[in-house]
Formats: sequence, structure tokens, C-alpha cells
Amino acid sequence: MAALDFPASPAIGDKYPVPAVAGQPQYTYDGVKWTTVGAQVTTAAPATALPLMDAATAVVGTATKYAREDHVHPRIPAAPVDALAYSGLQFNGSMSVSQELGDTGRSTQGYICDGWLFVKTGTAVETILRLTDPLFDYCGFSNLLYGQAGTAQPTMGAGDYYALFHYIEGYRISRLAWGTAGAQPITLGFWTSHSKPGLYSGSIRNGAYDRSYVFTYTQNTAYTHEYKTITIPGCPDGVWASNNTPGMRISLAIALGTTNSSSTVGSWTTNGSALGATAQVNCVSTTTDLFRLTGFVVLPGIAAPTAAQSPLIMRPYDQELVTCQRYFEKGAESQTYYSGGTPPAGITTAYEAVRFSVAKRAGPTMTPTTGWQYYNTSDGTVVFTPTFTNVSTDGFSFVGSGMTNWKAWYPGGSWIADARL
Amino acid sequence: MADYQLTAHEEPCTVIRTSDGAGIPPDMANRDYNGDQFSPGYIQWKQAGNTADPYVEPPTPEPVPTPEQQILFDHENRVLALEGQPPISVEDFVAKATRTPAAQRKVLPKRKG
Repeated sequence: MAALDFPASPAIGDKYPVPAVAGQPQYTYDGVKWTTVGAQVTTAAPATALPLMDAATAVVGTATKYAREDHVHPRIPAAPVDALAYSGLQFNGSMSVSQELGDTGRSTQGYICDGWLFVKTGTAVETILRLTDPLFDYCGFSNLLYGQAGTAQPTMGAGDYYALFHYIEGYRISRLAWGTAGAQPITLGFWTSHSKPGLYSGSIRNGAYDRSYVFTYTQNTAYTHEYKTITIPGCPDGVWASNNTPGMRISLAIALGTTNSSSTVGSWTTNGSALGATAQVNCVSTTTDLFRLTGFVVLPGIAAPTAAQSPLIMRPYDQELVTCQRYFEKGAESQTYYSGGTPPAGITTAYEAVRFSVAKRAGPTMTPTTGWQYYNTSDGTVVFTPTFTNVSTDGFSFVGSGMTNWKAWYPGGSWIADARL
Repeated sequence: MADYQLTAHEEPCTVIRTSDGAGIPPDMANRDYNGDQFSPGYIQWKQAGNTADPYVEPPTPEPVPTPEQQILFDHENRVLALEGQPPISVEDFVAKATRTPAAQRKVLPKRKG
């Protein structure tokens, strides 16, 4: 293209260049500046090449026709990382919140940390814990799930299984339109560092246990941090909850017997008991087997963050805590303050209403710790066992009954509200 | 003792898990109340043929006088002793303190003189 050389003293409405040149815009002088507003590019010959597809590396071609003809843009996810983070269907994928057990862990079936359930049937004693450890620090994660078999099980019985479950509430997955023709795909992303190389697996199931999709991934090198991404097509049929009940049941297998494994990988089936693939590694076969996982995301669509982006997509602790408290919350007994007199003598029953920090998914199971106390009128503290009443998603009341001259609550006890899936 | 105890005479009601004293509300979305094949809840436990322990009314606490009431109680019994009357029980004393004067006259023995 020739250099632009506008006339020195144009009049309003003057054109440049005159005559028009094919493939270039024709400018018009508006009294202040030369502009192409309202102008049309003179018709040029049709492009002779198809626009190139986006690729990992940007390239600029040499054609002088349309800009897109041979320009290649780098492949960039359509949504920025922070928007993807908000859209993440998982919660506590960075394992940063562990309200119940901290870093203690467990070897029996139950929740390890917020959102992550350990299930097992078999003779191995797999101790699994949420660990605050620099193991994955250079990947951007300071917490991980860490499992090791204190007692190994070299051979799995048919009905044996060891797995991690992550249940996602129906409200969080309803945007995927699963169970309809418009079902949208999802992409999983996570880090592993298992001790034993080989094929590992997991599954996605619905709340009713009548749809499943088994996926696999490979730990290529022992004890090496590896980032995995898996795209799963939307499930076009079955019932997928869109309310406060389990919407999506994700399992990540540690070891599986035949009953809960499937040889059908990479497609939706009606097998509701599949936790993984038949070819899954037995990661409890020796006492040196380690299963390590962190940085787990479930994103709508087919794009996953890169390994470098994966820690950036995790919601910060304060946001994860709020989400986790929808399912589990710990609180303490109230303390009563007053002045100007004392309550009347003879009170044997007293109630106190408590509001949760976050509304719960369902009416929670309320568990008291020991050490609940009250003051009586002789200013002594007396231990009692509370009962919980009026439990709702918003709060509850605790009741002390059979008390002697209750005067005030004394903060000695705590409670747990459990509305986990 | 069963694994669960009712908190009312009729269900549905909150059930107490006896192992840890947890109160489980009758919410079908609560996994402890209505679990699944991997985590059975109260409903599954009951469907397996088990029966929860029945609701037991909490015991009525023994009335214990406050320090002020104790002074009045002791004073009342000293007066009764001077009058040659049997001592009044704590229950009767508390009942007397919460009744109308007319009712009190029916409960307490008449004093001499």
C-alpha cells in the first residue's frame, strides 16, 4: 500500500485518494479531519485464501488483501480467567477450606475437608487427609488431598472400592441443561502427583444414580506434578437435579473392584454404580502408594485453563469459605450480657435463637460438642447438654432444660451444622 | 439403646443420633436423615427394619430455692417450729410462693393463736 499523502488545504467533502483505489478506503475531509466514517472500501477482488484458524502461535502473513486472510491469532479462551473462576461449578477445589478436621484427616468413610468425601469398602486402611504442604507450592497450591495406605490391599475384592467424591448441588449445575438436547459440555482440570504411574479414572453420575460417564487419565511419571484436563460432553438424557439435592456426583478412584468399575469409557451409560474404569490402577496395593490431588476445577464448556493459569482460576479462601458454609458451619455457644438486675429465680428452661452465617442447603444436622455451660443465680457455672430445636436452613434454637436457676449463658460449648450432600 | 431416638411422640420429627447426640431434622434433603447407598441415613436405617427409641419426656427438675427463697424458707420453718407445726417441704413452699393468698391459706396449716 502506498503511503498516505493527503492534500494540504482540503475543502469539506473532498475525497482522497481520487480516484478510489481497489482494496483501500477512500477518505472524506469533514472540515477537521480525514475520515472513513460512512465510506466504503472500494470493492476488491475476492480473497484467494481461507482465513487461517487460530493456533497456539500468532502469525502475520504477507497478503495485501483482507486482514484476516492470513493472520493467525493465538488461541485465547473466550472468557478471562476471573470469569471462569466465578463460573467454576466445583467448590473448594483448591482444598483450602477444612473446617471440620483441619489437617487431621481420616481412615474411615467421611468428609476429609469441605466438599471432599472419602468412601471405602475393603481391607486396606487408607489414611487420607487435607494437607497444608509446600508440595504443590510451585504450581500455586498450598493444600492438597494426600492418601496413603497404612495397611495395603494388593488384590481388590469385587465389591471393594476406595474413592474421593465431590458432590455438586443441583443449583450449581442447572445452567448446563443436562438431561436435555441442549446439554452443554464441561471440562475438568486438576493436578495429580501419584506415586504409581499408570491409568487412573473417575466418573460423573447424576443424583439418581442412573447415568454415568467414566473418564480416565494417566499419571505418566511417579511422584511428578502433572496437570490433567478432561472434556466431557453434556448428558442429553436422564434426570439431573436443578435444586438443592445432589446434581452431579464426581468420583476420582483410588482403587476399584469390578462391581464399581466399567469397561465403557468416554460415553454416557445408565450404569449408576460406575466409579471409574476397569483398568484403574490399584493405588492401595502397597504401603508406599500415594494418591495426591489438588487444583480441581469443573468448568462449563470445552476450554480449560492452562497449567500456569490453573491456580489463578481458584476462588480465594474468603469466597470458598462462604460457599462451603452453605454445607457445613461451626459456631459457639452464646454469652448473655445484662445489667441492672438479674433474671427471676427458678428458671429451669431457657432458649436462645442463633442465625447461621450462611443459609444452609437443607435443614442441617446439629451436633453439640461437650462443655456447654450456663450461669445460675449463685454465679456458678453449670455444665448442661443442649438440645436443638426449630432447626431450619436459616438458623436454630438451642435449649437448656432441667436447669437450676438459670441466669445466663456461658460460652463453653460449640455446635456443628451439617447440611453436606 | 437404638442408634436413633425420637424427639416427639409422632414422626416426622427430629431424631437424635445416639452415637454423638446430633439432632437430625426431618428434611429429606439432609443426608443424615435421608442418605444413599454410600452413606445411609435414618430413613435407610429404618427401612432396614430398625426402630428408634421412643421420645421420653424430660424429667421435671427438683425445685431448688434461690438464696432469697432459702432465707424465707428457713424463716418459715423456724416460725412453724415455734408454733409446734411440722416443717413445710420445699415443694409446698414453692407452691405457696406461686399461689394466690386464698390458695395459700388452703395449703398451709393454720397457725395457733
